[in-house]
Amino acid sequence: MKTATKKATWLVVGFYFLLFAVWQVLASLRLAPDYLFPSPIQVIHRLIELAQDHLLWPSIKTTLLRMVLGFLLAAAIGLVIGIAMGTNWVINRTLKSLFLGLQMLPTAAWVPLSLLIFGLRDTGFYFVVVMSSTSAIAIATADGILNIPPIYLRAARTLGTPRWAMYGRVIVPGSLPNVVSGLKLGWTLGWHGAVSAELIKSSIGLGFLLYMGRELNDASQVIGIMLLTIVFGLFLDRFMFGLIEARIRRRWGLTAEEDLSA
Amino acid sequence: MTSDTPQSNGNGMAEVTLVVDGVSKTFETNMQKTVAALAPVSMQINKGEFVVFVGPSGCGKSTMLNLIAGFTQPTTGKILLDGKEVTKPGRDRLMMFQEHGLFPWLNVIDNVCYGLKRKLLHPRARREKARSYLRLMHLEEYEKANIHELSGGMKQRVALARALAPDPRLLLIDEPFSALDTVVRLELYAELQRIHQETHKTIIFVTHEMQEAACLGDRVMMFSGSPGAVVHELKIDLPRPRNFTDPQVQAHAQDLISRLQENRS
Ligand SMILES: Nc1ncnc2c1ncn2[C@@H]1O[C@H](COP(=O)(O)OP(=O)(O)OP(=O)(O)O)[C@@H](O)[C@H]1O
Ligand SMILES: [Mg+2]
Repeated sequence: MKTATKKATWLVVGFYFLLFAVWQVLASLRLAPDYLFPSPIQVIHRLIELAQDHLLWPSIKTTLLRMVLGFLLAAAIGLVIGIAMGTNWVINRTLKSLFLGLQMLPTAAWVPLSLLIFGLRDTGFYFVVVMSSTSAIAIATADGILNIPPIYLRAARTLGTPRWAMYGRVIVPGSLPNVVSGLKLGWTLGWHGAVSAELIKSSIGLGFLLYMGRELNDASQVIGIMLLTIVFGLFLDRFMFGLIEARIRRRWGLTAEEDLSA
Repeated sequence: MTSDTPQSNGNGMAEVTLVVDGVSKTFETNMQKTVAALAPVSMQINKGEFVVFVGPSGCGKSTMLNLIAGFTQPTTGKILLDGKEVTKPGRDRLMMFQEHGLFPWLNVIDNVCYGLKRKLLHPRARREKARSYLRLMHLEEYEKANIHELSGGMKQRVALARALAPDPRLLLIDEPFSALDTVVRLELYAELQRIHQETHKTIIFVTHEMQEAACLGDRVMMFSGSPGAVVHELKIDLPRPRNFTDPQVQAHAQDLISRLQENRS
Protein backbone atom coordinates (compact mmCIF):
# COMPACT_ATOMS: atom_id res chain seq x y z
CA MET A 1 0.00 0.00 0.00
CA LYS A 2 2.63 2.53 1.17
CA THR A 3 5.13 1.55 -1.51
CA ALA A 4 2.39 1.68 -4.15
CA THR A 5 1.60 5.32 -3.28
CA LYS A 6 5.28 6.19 -3.30
CA LYS A 7 5.67 4.58 -6.68
CA ALA A 8 2.68 6.52 -8.00
CA THR A 9 4.14 9.79 -6.69
CA TRP A 10 7.44 9.19 -8.44
CA LEU A 11 5.62 8.26 -11.59
CA VAL A 12 3.78 11.59 -11.58
CA VAL A 13 6.93 13.58 -10.77
CA GLY A 14 8.78 11.80 -13.57
CA PHE A 15 5.95 12.51 -16.01
CA TYR A 16 6.05 16.26 -15.37
CA PHE A 17 9.82 16.32 -15.52
CA LEU A 18 9.64 14.67 -18.92
CA LEU A 19 6.90 17.05 -20.06
CA PHE A 20 9.02 20.09 -19.18
CA ALA A 21 12.09 18.55 -20.76
CA VAL A 22 10.23 17.98 -24.04
CA TRP A 23 8.88 21.53 -23.89
CA GLN A 24 12.37 22.94 -23.32
CA VAL A 25 13.79 20.93 -26.20
CA LEU A 26 11.01 21.99 -28.57
CA ALA A 27 11.50 25.63 -27.57
CA SER A 28 15.26 25.50 -28.12
CA LEU A 29 14.68 24.18 -31.66
CA ARG A 30 13.27 27.67 -32.44
CA LEU A 31 10.44 26.36 -34.57
CA ALA A 32 8.47 29.48 -33.66
CA PRO A 33 9.67 32.87 -32.43
CA ASP A 34 10.00 32.88 -28.65
CA TYR A 35 7.44 35.63 -28.10
CA LEU A 36 4.92 33.08 -29.38
CA PHE A 37 6.39 29.89 -28.01
CA PRO A 38 8.55 30.61 -24.97
CA SER A 39 10.63 28.01 -23.20
CA PRO A 40 9.80 26.94 -19.64
CA ILE A 41 12.82 28.84 -18.40
CA GLN A 42 11.53 32.04 -19.97
CA VAL A 43 8.13 31.44 -18.39
CA ILE A 44 9.61 30.96 -14.95
CA HIS A 45 11.78 34.01 -15.48
CA ARG A 46 8.71 36.10 -16.29
CA LEU A 47 6.90 34.84 -13.21
CA ILE A 48 9.86 35.84 -11.05
CA GLU A 49 9.80 39.31 -12.60
CA LEU A 50 6.10 39.63 -11.86
CA ALA A 51 6.76 38.58 -8.29
CA GLN A 52 9.53 41.17 -7.96
CA ASP A 53 7.15 43.85 -9.25
CA HIS A 54 4.78 42.91 -6.42
CA LEU A 55 2.12 41.88 -8.89
CA LEU A 56 2.10 38.13 -8.52
CA TRP A 57 1.46 37.37 -4.87
CA PRO A 58 -1.25 40.04 -4.34
CA SER A 59 -3.01 38.69 -7.41
CA ILE A 60 -2.91 35.10 -6.23
CA LYS A 61 -4.11 36.17 -2.81
CA THR A 62 -6.96 38.22 -4.25
CA THR A 63 -8.16 35.46 -6.53
CA LEU A 64 -7.98 32.87 -3.77
CA LEU A 65 -9.82 35.08 -1.31
CA ARG A 66 -12.57 35.90 -3.79
CA MET A 67 -12.79 32.26 -4.65
CA VAL A 68 -12.91 30.94 -1.09
CA LEU A 69 -15.57 33.41 0.01
CA GLY A 70 -17.62 32.92 -3.12
CA PHE A 71 -17.31 29.18 -2.86
CA LEU A 72 -18.36 29.11 0.80
CA LEU A 73 -21.43 31.09 -0.14
CA ALA A 74 -22.14 28.80 -3.09
CA ALA A 75 -21.67 25.70 -0.92
CA ALA A 76 -24.07 27.00 1.74
CA ILE A 77 -26.73 27.87 -0.84
CA GLY A 78 -26.15 24.70 -2.87
CA LEU A 79 -26.36 22.41 0.16
CA VAL A 80 -29.56 23.96 1.46
CA ILE A 81 -31.23 23.83 -1.95
CA GLY A 82 -29.85 20.32 -2.54
CA ILE A 83 -31.25 19.04 0.76
CA ALA A 84 -34.61 20.61 -0.04
CA MET A 85 -34.55 18.96 -3.47
CA GLY A 86 -33.48 15.62 -2.06
CA THR A 87 -36.24 15.52 0.52
CA ASN A 88 -39.10 17.10 -1.40
CA TRP A 89 -40.36 15.56 -4.60
CA VAL A 90 -41.97 18.75 -5.94
CA ILE A 91 -38.90 20.91 -5.36
CA ASN A 92 -36.70 18.28 -6.98
CA ARG A 93 -38.84 17.94 -10.09
CA THR A 94 -39.03 21.68 -10.65
CA LEU A 95 -35.54 22.83 -9.69
CA LYS A 96 -33.59 19.95 -11.17
CA SER A 97 -34.40 20.82 -14.78
CA LEU A 98 -33.66 24.47 -14.06
CA PHE A 99 -30.25 23.68 -12.59
CA LEU A 100 -29.38 21.22 -15.33
CA GLY A 101 -30.22 23.98 -17.78
CA LEU A 102 -28.07 26.52 -15.96
CA GLN A 103 -25.18 24.08 -16.05
CA MET A 104 -25.29 24.27 -19.83
CA LEU A 105 -24.02 27.83 -19.59
CA PRO A 106 -20.26 28.26 -19.73
CA THR A 107 -19.22 29.91 -16.47
CA ALA A 108 -17.85 32.92 -18.37
CA ALA A 109 -21.36 33.60 -19.66
CA TRP A 110 -22.26 34.95 -16.22
CA VAL A 111 -19.69 37.76 -16.50
CA PRO A 112 -21.61 40.19 -18.76
CA LEU A 113 -24.67 39.95 -16.53
CA SER A 114 -22.52 40.47 -13.48
CA LEU A 115 -21.08 43.62 -15.08
CA LEU A 116 -24.55 44.91 -15.86
CA ILE A 117 -25.85 44.33 -12.36
CA PHE A 118 -22.83 45.04 -10.20
CA GLY A 119 -20.55 47.11 -12.43
CA LEU A 120 -16.98 46.84 -11.30
CA ARG A 121 -17.83 46.18 -7.68
CA ASP A 122 -16.32 43.12 -6.00
CA THR A 123 -19.77 41.69 -5.33
CA GLY A 124 -19.84 40.81 -9.01
CA PHE A 125 -17.11 38.20 -8.53
CA TYR A 126 -19.04 36.46 -5.82
CA PHE A 127 -22.07 36.53 -8.08
CA VAL A 128 -20.16 34.79 -10.87
CA VAL A 129 -18.63 32.19 -8.54
CA VAL A 130 -21.97 31.44 -6.89
CA MET A 131 -23.80 31.14 -10.20
CA SER A 132 -21.03 28.94 -11.61
CA SER A 133 -20.89 26.40 -8.82
CA THR A 134 -24.20 26.37 -6.94
CA SER A 135 -26.13 24.21 -9.39
CA ALA A 136 -23.50 21.48 -9.46
CA ILE A 137 -23.44 21.35 -5.67
CA ALA A 138 -27.23 21.35 -5.37
CA ILE A 139 -27.71 18.61 -7.96
CA ALA A 140 -25.03 16.38 -6.44
CA THR A 141 -26.48 16.85 -2.96
CA ALA A 142 -30.00 16.03 -4.14
CA ASP A 143 -28.78 12.94 -6.00
CA GLY A 144 -26.77 11.90 -2.98
CA ILE A 145 -29.83 12.04 -0.77
CA LEU A 146 -32.11 10.32 -3.28
CA ASN A 147 -29.56 7.52 -3.67
CA ILE A 148 -29.28 6.74 0.04
CA PRO A 149 -30.28 3.07 0.27
CA PRO A 150 -33.77 2.96 1.86
CA ILE A 151 -32.52 0.32 4.27
CA TYR A 152 -30.55 3.01 6.17
CA LEU A 153 -33.65 5.14 6.57
CA ARG A 154 -35.65 2.14 7.74
CA ALA A 155 -32.92 1.05 10.15
CA ALA A 156 -32.71 4.56 11.58
CA ARG A 157 -36.46 4.73 12.06
CA THR A 158 -36.72 1.38 13.80
CA LEU A 159 -33.84 2.46 16.04
CA GLY A 160 -36.01 5.33 17.22
CA THR A 161 -34.59 8.27 15.26
CA PRO A 162 -37.03 11.19 15.44
CA ARG A 163 -37.96 12.80 12.15
CA TRP A 164 -36.02 16.02 12.87
CA ALA A 165 -32.86 14.08 13.68
CA MET A 166 -32.89 12.13 10.41
CA TYR A 167 -31.12 14.99 8.63
CA GLY A 168 -28.13 15.09 10.94
CA ARG A 169 -27.83 11.39 11.66
CA VAL A 170 -28.67 9.70 8.38
CA ILE A 171 -29.39 12.00 5.44
CA VAL A 172 -26.25 14.11 5.66
CA PRO A 173 -23.77 11.34 6.50
CA GLY A 174 -25.46 8.94 4.09
CA SER A 175 -25.15 11.32 1.15
CA LEU A 176 -21.66 12.54 2.03
CA PRO A 177 -19.70 10.73 -0.71
CA ASN A 178 -21.87 12.33 -3.39
CA VAL A 179 -21.92 15.68 -1.65
CA VAL A 180 -18.13 15.83 -1.52
CA SER A 181 -17.93 14.99 -5.23
CA GLY A 182 -20.42 17.79 -5.86
CA LEU A 183 -18.35 20.23 -3.81
CA LYS A 184 -15.27 19.26 -5.78
CA LEU A 185 -17.00 19.89 -9.06
CA GLY A 186 -18.44 23.12 -7.67
CA TRP A 187 -14.96 24.25 -6.67
CA THR A 188 -13.61 23.64 -10.18
CA LEU A 189 -16.51 25.44 -11.85
CA GLY A 190 -16.29 28.33 -9.41
CA TRP A 191 -12.56 28.62 -10.11
CA HIS A 192 -13.34 28.84 -13.83
CA GLY A 193 -15.90 31.54 -13.09
CA ALA A 194 -13.61 33.58 -10.85
CA VAL A 195 -10.74 33.67 -13.34
CA SER A 196 -13.10 34.41 -16.25
CA ALA A 197 -14.58 37.34 -14.35
CA GLU A 198 -11.14 38.73 -13.59
CA LEU A 199 -10.23 38.58 -17.27
CA ILE A 200 -12.83 41.17 -17.99
CA LYS A 201 -13.48 43.29 -14.96
CA SER A 202 -10.57 43.45 -12.59
CA SER A 203 -7.37 45.35 -11.96
CA ILE A 204 -5.86 42.56 -9.90
CA GLY A 205 -6.02 38.78 -9.74
CA LEU A 206 -4.81 35.85 -11.81
CA GLY A 207 -7.34 36.55 -14.55
CA PHE A 208 -6.18 40.14 -14.74
CA LEU A 209 -2.53 39.09 -15.14
CA LEU A 210 -3.62 36.79 -17.92
CA TYR A 211 -5.37 39.69 -19.66
CA MET A 212 -2.39 41.96 -19.08
CA GLY A 213 -0.07 39.36 -20.65
CA ARG A 214 -2.18 39.43 -23.78
CA GLU A 215 -2.15 43.24 -23.87
CA LEU A 216 1.65 43.20 -23.57
CA ASN A 217 1.91 40.50 -26.22
CA ASP A 218 3.82 38.46 -23.66
CA ALA A 219 3.29 34.74 -24.19
CA SER A 220 5.57 33.89 -21.25
CA GLN A 221 3.26 35.72 -18.89
CA VAL A 222 0.09 34.20 -20.38
CA ILE A 223 1.45 30.67 -20.16
CA GLY A 224 2.95 31.25 -16.72
CA ILE A 225 -0.33 32.52 -15.27
CA MET A 226 -2.22 29.67 -16.91
CA LEU A 227 0.12 27.26 -15.16
CA LEU A 228 -0.38 29.00 -11.84
CA THR A 229 -4.15 28.92 -12.30
CA ILE A 230 -3.96 25.18 -12.80
CA VAL A 231 -1.56 24.63 -9.91
CA PHE A 232 -3.51 26.62 -7.33
CA GLY A 233 -6.90 25.29 -8.38
CA LEU A 234 -5.66 21.73 -8.31
CA PHE A 235 -3.71 22.16 -5.10
CA LEU A 236 -6.75 23.32 -3.16
CA ASP A 237 -8.92 20.71 -4.81
CA ARG A 238 -6.52 18.00 -3.65
CA PHE A 239 -6.02 19.35 -0.18
CA MET A 240 -9.49 20.51 0.71
CA PHE A 241 -11.53 17.75 -0.87
CA GLY A 242 -9.05 15.07 -1.82
CA LEU A 243 -8.22 14.28 1.79
CA ILE A 244 -11.84 14.36 2.96
CA GLU A 245 -12.87 12.20 0.03
CA ALA A 246 -10.12 9.68 0.68
CA ARG A 247 -11.17 9.44 4.32
CA ILE A 248 -14.80 8.84 3.45
CA ARG A 249 -13.95 6.31 0.79
CA ARG A 250 -11.75 4.42 3.21
CA ARG A 251 -14.41 4.33 5.91
CA TRP A 252 -17.16 3.25 3.53
CA GLY A 253 -14.91 0.68 1.91
CA LEU A 254 -15.20 2.31 -1.50
CA THR A 255 -11.47 2.04 -2.20
CA ALA A 256 -11.63 -1.44 -3.59
CA GLU A 257 -8.46 -3.12 -4.74
CA GLU A 258 -9.79 -3.22 -8.27
CA ASP A 259 -10.29 0.56 -8.28
CA LEU A 260 -9.10 1.56 -11.73
CA SER A 261 -8.26 5.16 -10.92
CA ALA A 262 -5.90 4.18 -8.09
CA MET B 1 -58.24 -3.31 25.02
CA THR B 2 -57.66 -5.89 27.66
CA SER B 3 -54.38 -7.13 26.33
CA ASP B 4 -52.46 -6.09 29.44
CA THR B 5 -54.30 -8.60 31.57
CA PRO B 6 -52.57 -11.97 31.75
CA GLN B 7 -54.17 -14.62 29.59
CA SER B 8 -53.71 -18.31 29.38
CA ASN B 9 -51.94 -19.71 26.40
CA GLY B 10 -52.74 -23.33 27.10
CA ASN B 11 -49.78 -24.47 29.20
CA GLY B 12 -49.78 -22.38 32.33
CA MET B 13 -50.10 -18.63 32.60
CA ALA B 14 -48.30 -16.34 30.21
CA GLU B 15 -48.55 -12.64 29.65
CA VAL B 16 -49.71 -11.56 26.23
CA THR B 17 -47.56 -8.77 24.87
CA LEU B 18 -48.56 -8.43 21.21
CA VAL B 19 -52.10 -8.54 19.93
CA VAL B 20 -52.81 -8.52 16.21
CA ASP B 21 -56.52 -8.00 15.76
CA GLY B 22 -58.06 -8.58 12.32
CA VAL B 23 -55.19 -6.92 10.50
CA SER B 24 -55.24 -6.87 6.71
CA LYS B 25 -53.17 -4.94 4.21
CA THR B 26 -53.93 -3.81 0.70
CA PHE B 27 -51.31 -1.98 -1.35
CA GLU B 28 -52.11 0.64 -3.94
CA THR B 29 -49.82 0.16 -6.91
CA ASN B 30 -48.94 2.61 -9.64
CA MET B 31 -51.71 2.01 -12.14
CA GLN B 32 -54.67 2.34 -9.75
CA LYS B 33 -54.48 -1.38 -9.15
CA THR B 34 -54.64 -2.75 -5.65
CA VAL B 35 -52.80 -5.77 -4.32
CA ALA B 36 -54.27 -7.59 -1.34
CA ALA B 37 -51.12 -8.72 0.44
CA LEU B 38 -52.67 -9.88 3.68
CA ALA B 39 -56.15 -11.16 4.49
CA PRO B 40 -57.41 -10.30 8.00
CA VAL B 41 -55.03 -11.99 10.44
CA SER B 42 -55.37 -12.24 14.20
CA MET B 43 -52.82 -13.56 16.63
CA GLN B 44 -51.51 -13.14 20.15
CA ILE B 45 -47.90 -13.44 21.11
CA ASN B 46 -46.77 -13.98 24.67
CA LYS B 47 -44.00 -12.27 26.49
CA GLY B 48 -40.71 -14.11 25.99
CA GLU B 49 -42.09 -16.27 23.20
CA PHE B 50 -40.00 -17.11 20.14
CA VAL B 51 -42.42 -17.12 17.20
CA VAL B 52 -41.42 -18.05 13.66
CA PHE B 53 -43.35 -17.04 10.54
CA VAL B 54 -42.91 -19.42 7.61
CA GLY B 55 -44.53 -19.76 4.24
CA PRO B 56 -43.92 -19.49 0.53
CA SER B 57 -42.62 -16.36 -1.11
CA GLY B 58 -45.11 -13.52 -1.44
CA CYS B 59 -47.56 -14.68 1.22
CA GLY B 60 -47.24 -11.55 3.33
CA LYS B 61 -44.70 -12.45 6.02
CA SER B 62 -42.60 -9.33 5.53
CA THR B 63 -45.77 -7.29 5.20
CA MET B 64 -46.93 -8.55 8.60
CA LEU B 65 -43.56 -7.77 10.13
CA ASN B 66 -43.53 -4.26 8.64
CA LEU B 67 -46.97 -3.64 10.10
CA ILE B 68 -45.86 -4.77 13.55
CA ALA B 69 -42.74 -2.63 13.23
CA GLY B 70 -44.94 0.32 12.34
CA PHE B 71 -43.38 1.03 8.94
CA THR B 72 -46.80 0.71 7.30
CA GLN B 73 -50.33 1.06 8.63
CA PRO B 74 -52.90 -1.76 8.46
CA THR B 75 -55.78 -1.33 6.02
CA THR B 76 -58.13 -2.83 8.58
CA GLY B 77 -57.73 -3.96 12.18
CA LYS B 78 -55.15 -2.93 14.70
CA ILE B 79 -51.96 -3.97 16.42
CA LEU B 80 -51.37 -3.49 20.13
CA LEU B 81 -48.11 -3.83 21.98
CA ASP B 82 -48.68 -4.06 25.74
CA GLY B 83 -52.07 -2.48 25.21
CA LYS B 84 -50.79 0.48 23.21
CA GLU B 85 -51.68 0.81 19.56
CA VAL B 86 -48.75 0.69 17.15
CA THR B 87 -48.73 3.73 14.85
CA LYS B 88 -45.08 4.34 13.97
CA PRO B 89 -41.68 2.67 14.21
CA GLY B 90 -39.95 2.78 17.56
CA ARG B 91 -37.13 1.22 19.48
CA ASP B 92 -39.52 -0.90 21.55
CA ARG B 93 -40.05 -3.03 18.40
CA LEU B 94 -36.66 -3.28 16.76
CA MET B 95 -36.41 -4.77 13.33
CA MET B 96 -33.46 -6.63 11.90
CA PHE B 97 -33.31 -6.88 8.14
CA GLN B 98 -32.08 -9.37 5.60
CA GLU B 99 -29.50 -6.83 4.46
CA HIS B 100 -27.81 -5.90 7.72
CA GLY B 101 -28.51 -2.17 7.32
CA LEU B 102 -25.46 -1.12 9.35
CA PHE B 103 -24.39 2.47 8.71
CA PRO B 104 -21.11 2.55 6.74
CA TRP B 105 -20.27 6.03 8.04
CA LEU B 106 -20.06 4.72 11.60
CA ASN B 107 -17.66 2.15 12.99
CA VAL B 108 -18.85 -1.00 14.74
CA ILE B 109 -19.31 0.38 18.24
CA ASP B 110 -20.93 3.60 17.05
CA ASN B 111 -23.42 1.50 15.10
CA VAL B 112 -24.29 -0.40 18.26
CA CYS B 113 -24.52 2.88 20.21
CA TYR B 114 -26.84 4.39 17.64
CA GLY B 115 -30.13 3.14 19.08
CA LEU B 116 -29.32 3.98 22.69
CA LYS B 117 -31.22 6.97 24.00
CA ARG B 118 -29.02 10.04 23.90
CA LYS B 119 -30.96 11.99 26.49
CA LEU B 120 -30.87 9.48 29.27
CA LEU B 121 -27.40 8.04 28.99
CA HIS B 122 -24.03 9.63 29.40
CA PRO B 123 -21.84 9.01 26.32
CA ARG B 124 -19.52 6.86 28.36
CA ALA B 125 -22.40 4.78 29.70
CA ARG B 126 -23.70 4.33 26.15
CA ARG B 127 -20.34 3.04 24.96
CA GLU B 128 -20.08 0.73 27.95
CA LYS B 129 -23.49 -0.69 27.21
CA ALA B 130 -22.73 -1.09 23.51
CA ARG B 131 -19.49 -2.82 24.41
CA SER B 132 -21.30 -5.31 26.62
CA TYR B 133 -23.51 -6.30 23.67
CA LEU B 134 -20.50 -6.64 21.41
CA ARG B 135 -18.99 -8.91 24.04
CA LEU B 136 -22.21 -10.94 24.02
CA MET B 137 -21.66 -11.43 20.28
CA HIS B 138 -17.92 -12.16 20.70
CA LEU B 139 -17.01 -9.07 18.73
CA GLU B 140 -15.31 -6.93 21.35
CA GLU B 141 -12.05 -6.88 19.39
CA TYR B 142 -13.78 -5.32 16.41
CA GLU B 143 -15.36 -2.30 18.06
CA LYS B 144 -13.21 0.16 16.09
CA ALA B 145 -13.49 -1.67 12.76
CA ASN B 146 -15.26 -0.23 9.75
CA ILE B 147 -18.34 -2.10 8.60
CA HIS B 148 -16.95 -3.15 5.23
CA GLU B 149 -14.04 -4.86 6.97
CA LEU B 150 -16.35 -7.47 8.54
CA SER B 151 -17.52 -10.77 7.09
CA GLY B 152 -21.21 -11.31 6.35
CA GLY B 153 -21.75 -13.30 9.53
CA MET B 154 -19.96 -10.69 11.64
CA LYS B 155 -22.11 -7.96 10.12
CA GLN B 156 -25.27 -9.83 11.08
CA ARG B 157 -23.92 -10.27 14.61
CA VAL B 158 -23.23 -6.52 14.84
CA ALA B 159 -26.74 -5.89 13.53
CA LEU B 160 -28.09 -8.22 16.22
CA ALA B 161 -26.06 -6.40 18.89
CA ARG B 162 -27.38 -3.09 17.59
CA ALA B 163 -30.94 -4.37 17.74
CA LEU B 164 -30.53 -5.79 21.26
CA ALA B 165 -28.76 -2.83 22.83
CA PRO B 166 -31.82 -0.57 23.23
CA ASP B 167 -33.52 -3.46 25.07
CA PRO B 168 -36.60 -3.65 22.81
CA ARG B 169 -39.73 -5.39 24.04
CA LEU B 170 -40.05 -7.11 20.70
CA LEU B 171 -37.36 -8.17 18.27
CA LEU B 172 -38.49 -8.53 14.65
CA ILE B 173 -36.13 -10.48 12.43
CA ASP B 174 -36.71 -10.87 8.68
CA GLU B 175 -34.67 -13.67 7.07
CA PRO B 176 -31.37 -12.38 8.39
CA PHE B 177 -29.32 -15.48 7.68
CA SER B 178 -30.41 -16.46 4.19
CA ALA B 179 -27.26 -15.05 2.58
CA LEU B 180 -24.84 -16.77 4.95
CA ASP B 181 -23.01 -20.06 4.67
CA THR B 182 -24.11 -23.11 6.64
CA VAL B 183 -21.43 -23.06 9.33
CA VAL B 184 -22.00 -19.40 10.15
CA ARG B 185 -25.73 -19.98 10.17
CA LEU B 186 -25.47 -22.86 12.63
CA GLU B 187 -23.37 -20.64 14.87
CA LEU B 188 -25.94 -17.88 14.71
CA TYR B 189 -28.80 -20.27 15.53
CA ALA B 190 -26.97 -21.23 18.71
CA GLU B 191 -26.22 -17.58 19.43
CA LEU B 192 -29.80 -16.51 18.94
CA GLN B 193 -31.13 -19.26 21.19
CA ARG B 194 -28.61 -18.39 23.88
CA ILE B 195 -29.61 -14.73 23.73
CA HIS B 196 -33.27 -15.63 23.83
CA GLN B 197 -32.68 -17.72 26.94
CA GLU B 198 -30.53 -15.10 28.63
CA THR B 199 -32.65 -12.05 27.87
CA HIS B 200 -36.13 -13.60 27.60
CA LYS B 201 -36.85 -11.36 24.67
CA THR B 202 -39.99 -11.76 22.64
CA ILE B 203 -38.85 -12.57 19.14
CA ILE B 204 -40.66 -12.85 15.80
CA PHE B 205 -38.49 -14.48 13.19
CA VAL B 206 -39.29 -14.85 9.48
CA THR B 207 -37.81 -17.60 7.36
CA HIS B 208 -38.33 -19.82 4.34
CA GLU B 209 -36.43 -22.68 5.92
CA MET B 210 -38.53 -25.23 7.81
CA GLN B 211 -35.49 -26.63 9.65
CA GLU B 212 -34.61 -23.15 10.80
CA ALA B 213 -38.18 -22.67 12.00
CA ALA B 214 -38.27 -25.99 13.85
CA CYS B 215 -34.90 -25.33 15.43
CA LEU B 216 -35.68 -21.86 16.69
CA GLY B 217 -39.39 -21.50 17.33
CA ASP B 218 -41.53 -22.07 20.40
CA ARG B 219 -44.37 -21.66 17.97
CA VAL B 220 -44.39 -21.71 14.17
CA MET B 221 -47.08 -19.85 12.24
CA MET B 222 -47.46 -20.87 8.63
CA PHE B 223 -48.63 -18.22 6.20
CA SER B 224 -50.00 -19.12 2.82
CA GLY B 225 -52.12 -17.94 -0.05
CA SER B 226 -52.67 -14.67 -1.78
CA PRO B 227 -53.78 -12.61 0.07
CA GLY B 228 -51.75 -14.24 2.81
CA ALA B 229 -53.27 -15.70 5.94
CA VAL B 230 -52.16 -17.93 8.80
CA VAL B 231 -53.10 -21.44 7.69
CA HIS B 232 -51.42 -23.54 10.34
CA GLU B 233 -49.86 -23.25 13.76
CA LEU B 234 -47.38 -25.65 15.34
CA LYS B 235 -46.12 -25.57 18.91
CA ILE B 236 -42.64 -26.97 19.37
CA ASP B 237 -41.99 -28.12 22.92
CA LEU B 238 -38.40 -29.25 22.65
CA PRO B 239 -35.76 -28.47 25.25
CA ARG B 240 -33.23 -25.71 24.45
CA PRO B 241 -30.63 -25.19 23.26
CA ARG B 242 -31.73 -27.18 20.24
CA ASN B 243 -29.40 -28.61 17.71
CA PHE B 244 -30.20 -27.99 14.06
CA THR B 245 -29.51 -31.63 13.20
CA ASP B 246 -31.41 -33.10 16.16
CA PRO B 247 -33.80 -35.84 14.88
CA GLN B 248 -36.74 -34.36 16.78
CA VAL B 249 -36.10 -30.96 15.17
CA GLN B 250 -35.91 -32.70 11.81
CA ALA B 251 -39.20 -34.48 12.50
CA HIS B 252 -40.96 -31.18 13.21
CA ALA B 253 -39.41 -29.68 10.08
CA GLN B 254 -40.73 -32.62 8.07
CA ASP B 255 -44.17 -32.09 9.55
CA LEU B 256 -44.03 -28.42 8.50
CA ILE B 257 -42.94 -29.31 5.00
CA SER B 258 -45.83 -31.72 4.49
CA ARG B 259 -48.25 -29.07 5.81
CA LEU B 260 -46.82 -26.64 3.33
CA GLN B 261 -47.35 -29.08 0.47
CA GLU B 262 -50.95 -29.70 1.60
CA ASN B 263 -51.62 -25.99 1.47
CA ARG B 264 -50.09 -25.69 -1.94
CA SER B 265 -52.29 -28.25 -3.59
N1 LIG C 1 -44.94 -1.81 -1.12
C1 LIG C 1 -45.67 -2.71 -1.81
N2 LIG C 1 -46.42 -2.30 -2.85
C2 LIG C 1 -47.17 -3.19 -3.53
N3 LIG C 1 -47.23 -4.49 -3.28
C3 LIG C 1 -46.49 -4.97 -2.27
C4 LIG C 1 -45.66 -4.10 -1.48
N4 LIG C 1 -45.04 -4.84 -0.54
C5 LIG C 1 -45.44 -6.11 -0.75
N5 LIG C 1 -46.32 -6.19 -1.77
C6 LIG C 1 -46.98 -7.41 -2.24
O1 LIG C 1 -47.53 -8.07 -1.14
C7 LIG C 1 -47.37 -9.47 -1.24
C8 LIG C 1 -46.68 -9.99 0.01
O2 LIG C 1 -45.35 -9.54 0.05
P1 LIG C 1 -44.33 -9.84 1.22
O3 LIG C 1 -43.10 -9.09 0.97
O4 LIG C 1 -45.01 -9.61 2.52
O5 LIG C 1 -44.09 -11.40 1.03
P2 LIG C 1 -43.12 -12.36 1.85
O6 LIG C 1 -43.97 -13.40 2.46
O7 LIG C 1 -42.25 -11.59 2.79
O8 LIG C 1 -42.26 -13.00 0.70
P3 LIG C 1 -40.71 -13.44 0.74
O9 LIG C 1 -40.68 -14.73 1.45
O10 LIG C 1 -40.38 -13.59 -0.71
O11 LIG C 1 -39.94 -12.36 1.41
C9 LIG C 1 -46.60 -9.72 -2.51
O12 LIG C 1 -47.52 -10.12 -3.50
C10 LIG C 1 -46.00 -8.38 -2.86
O13 LIG C 1 -45.94 -8.22 -4.25
MG1 LIG D 1 -40.11 -11.17 2.90
